[in-house]
Amino acid sequence: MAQGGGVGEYELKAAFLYNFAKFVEWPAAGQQEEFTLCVIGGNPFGAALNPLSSSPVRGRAVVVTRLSDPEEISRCNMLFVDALALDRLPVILQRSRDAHVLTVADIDGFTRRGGMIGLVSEDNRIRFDINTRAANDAGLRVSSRLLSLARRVLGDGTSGTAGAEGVGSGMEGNRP
Amino acid sequence: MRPVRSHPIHSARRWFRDLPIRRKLTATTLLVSTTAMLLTAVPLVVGDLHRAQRDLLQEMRGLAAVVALGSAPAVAFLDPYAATETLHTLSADRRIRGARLLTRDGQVFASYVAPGTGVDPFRGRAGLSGADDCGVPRFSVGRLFLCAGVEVGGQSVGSLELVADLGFLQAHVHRQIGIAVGVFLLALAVAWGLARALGRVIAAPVQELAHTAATVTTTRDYSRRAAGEGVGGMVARDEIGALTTAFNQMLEQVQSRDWQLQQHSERLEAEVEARTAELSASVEQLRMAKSEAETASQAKSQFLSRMSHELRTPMNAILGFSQLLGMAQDEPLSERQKEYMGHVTKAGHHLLELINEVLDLARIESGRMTLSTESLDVGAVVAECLELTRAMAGDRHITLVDATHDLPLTRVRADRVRLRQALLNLLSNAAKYSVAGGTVTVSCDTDDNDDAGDGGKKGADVADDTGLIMLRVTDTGPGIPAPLQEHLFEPFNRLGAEDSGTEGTGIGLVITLKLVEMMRGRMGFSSRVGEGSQFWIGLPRVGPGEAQAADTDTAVGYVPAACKPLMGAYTLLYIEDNPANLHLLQELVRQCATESRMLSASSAELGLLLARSEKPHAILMDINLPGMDGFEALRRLRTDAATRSIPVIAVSADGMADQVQRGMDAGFAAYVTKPFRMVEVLDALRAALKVKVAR
Ligand SMILES: Nc1ncnc2c1ncn2[C@@H]1O[C@H](COP(=O)(O)OP(=O)(O)O)[C@@H](O)[C@H]1O
Ligand SMILES: [Mg+2]
Repeated sequence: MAQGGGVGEYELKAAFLYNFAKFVEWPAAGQQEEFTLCVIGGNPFGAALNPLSSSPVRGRAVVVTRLSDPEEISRCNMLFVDALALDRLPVILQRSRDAHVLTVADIDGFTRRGGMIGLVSEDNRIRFDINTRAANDAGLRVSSRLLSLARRVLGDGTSGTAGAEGVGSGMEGNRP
Repeated sequence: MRPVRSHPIHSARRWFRDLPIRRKLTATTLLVSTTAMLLTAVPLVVGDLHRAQRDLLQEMRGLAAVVALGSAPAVAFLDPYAATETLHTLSADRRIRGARLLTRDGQVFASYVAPGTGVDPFRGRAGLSGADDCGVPRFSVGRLFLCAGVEVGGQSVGSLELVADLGFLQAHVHRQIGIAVGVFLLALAVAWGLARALGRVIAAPVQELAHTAATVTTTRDYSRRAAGEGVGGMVARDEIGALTTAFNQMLEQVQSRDWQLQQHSERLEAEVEARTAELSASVEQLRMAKSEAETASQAKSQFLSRMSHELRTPMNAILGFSQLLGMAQDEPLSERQKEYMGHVTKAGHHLLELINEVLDLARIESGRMTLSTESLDVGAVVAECLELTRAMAGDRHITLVDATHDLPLTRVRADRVRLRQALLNLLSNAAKYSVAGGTVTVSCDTDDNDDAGDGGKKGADVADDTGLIMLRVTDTGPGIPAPLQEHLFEPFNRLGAEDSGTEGTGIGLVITLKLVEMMRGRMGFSSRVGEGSQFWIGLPRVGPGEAQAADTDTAVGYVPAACKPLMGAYTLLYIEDNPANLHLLQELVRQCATESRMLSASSAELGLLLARSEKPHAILMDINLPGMDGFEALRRLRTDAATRSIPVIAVSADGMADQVQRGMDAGFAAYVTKPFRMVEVLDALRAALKVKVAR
């Protein structure tokens, strides 16, 4: 419903990215001046990410950076993985986990493959799945309020923040 | 409280003023308590309403904040289901009528309408509030519109709008007002009860006072008292109590005054009654005394009158037969016998005079003396009296002077016989009590120059309309000593003259005074020892208009100096009880009928006796005699053969025509009216004797 009108798919997704940053907590150590949003692969957003840099997240100015080399991931706080970088996904996820980077993508099965938040188009709406285990592994804490909105939550029982994929699948039935 | 009518203020005030005091107190209390309660309750209710509103607003704000926070992720991630779900949590609060979430650009994102809410509470308000101007909560009809921003990480993502129902608030307010009204009514009832109770405390004594005052006013029962209030009728010690006490004291004073007044008036009444009784008793006593005195006086007068009459009859006989003795031609008396005879006659005359005077006095005092007044010429009366006194005066060598000769004709209203009697009395007194060689003068004047306040005795009914004519008899006698003067008019008091050998009775002056008074005149005297006395008589003067009514005969009533003599020696009999008339006729016979002799009888009985024994040639008969009157005497004369043919001439003071006619019818030879006209008497005698002679 909200996606109607002249608002493009990636403009909405850009707003989603921005809002995700508000419901996730990063480890306190090693935080920079700025909040760095990185995009790896192609750039499906075009100019839609630009307005984000004007509004701060958690009191920090937003810097949008395009990455080509996965080695650069450590600079980022959040990373959007475009489908073009799918072949380097394991490396990207590995580096992201080490550098405490929140990974978001609109690739099918992203969360099952170890990604943290996967954007899904469903019923003409944009929804999202969350892999809490991956986030926990990276030292990130996802707000329960965000979890409550997720279409599916994947993760191990030990994380305590979200159920296993099976549980998450079970939850899926509850969602319209 | 009574509703105050929409009259002007003063009419309401008048209404209040005329209320009974108890009502006034109740009204005042209720008014005051109502005002107090209103002043208390209205701010309370208003404040409570305000507070409730504020509380509601705060609560709703909090609720909105919570919901906004809860729905923030849903709004941020455009999840209408989640948002609607969040909004539905509001159904727990029944005050919430509806809620909706709007995105930043004002699109309605999710909404909630409470079950039972008929119409969409947001109708007409769609898209009104942008996320930025979501500030002031608005109270509309029964609803509260509230707005809260929805933020994520300090960033606004939309807004939440909330509609709360104020119905419960109104219910609350109504409940509050209901409670207030209930409390108000309860308080009023309590206040009314208190006012009544207190009113009784205050109003009852006042009402009692007013009632007592009204009762006292209408019944005038001053023994009533205003009762006190409460137990034992004790009077309260407040102002009203003081008033009641003062009122009662006042009543007590009034009552005591009233009582005193009543006592007083009762005493007065009793006194008045007693006095009235005394007065009427004394009046009764006086009346009895008076009637007793009158009876006594009348008895005395009657006694005197009877005694005198009884004395006079034998006296007349003595005198009559003494005359006959002296005149008997065939048996002349010796000189010695004549002298003794003179003494007897003189003493008899004195006695007769005394008896006559007593009779007169008795007649006057018993009111049986009647006078017939007429207009008289003073000069004629004076001359007549002087003539009668002359013989006696000559015996004593007293000169009589008539000083009235030169006066113009002066007339008085008097009884001729009685005036003559009075004047003769004064003249005889003057002659009797003067020393030999003295002078007695009779003068006359009007009372204008009567300056003598000299012990004048006044008639009870003095005529003063035309003034008095004063007749004065002045002598050169010894005078009357001042201490004796006051006894001058006492009956039978002769002031010592009884020892001087002068004959008298001591009642001449009394009779004179009485006669003068009866003629509406005055009498008085002045006297100086050694110089003489003056006695005067004042008589009412006859006005000029009446003068012509008088008789023109100036020669009436006294013996004229020259008369046509009655020739021949006749024996005449005069039956007359008035000595003055007798005297006069004797003088007439002595002067004009020198050859004739006259017998006199002072009563009819004596007259009849003399007539039978002496067989006179003519009889002069007074009609009005004591005892038997002239008519009866004439009848007896006519029945007796010896006296039947003697002519009888009636002599009467009654000159009325029918009386004259009656006399002529009875058989009198002539009817001569007194006072005598001497010529007439002589003519009548002459005519009667001629008839007799002719026969
Ligand atoms: N003219 C007089 N002069 C002196 N004494 C008089 C005179 N007239 C009267 N009296 C005295 O007053 C007395 C009373 O007089 P009256 O009444 O006439 O009585 P009466 O002549 O019979 O004695 C006389 O007794 C005498 O003493
Ligand atoms: Mg005398």
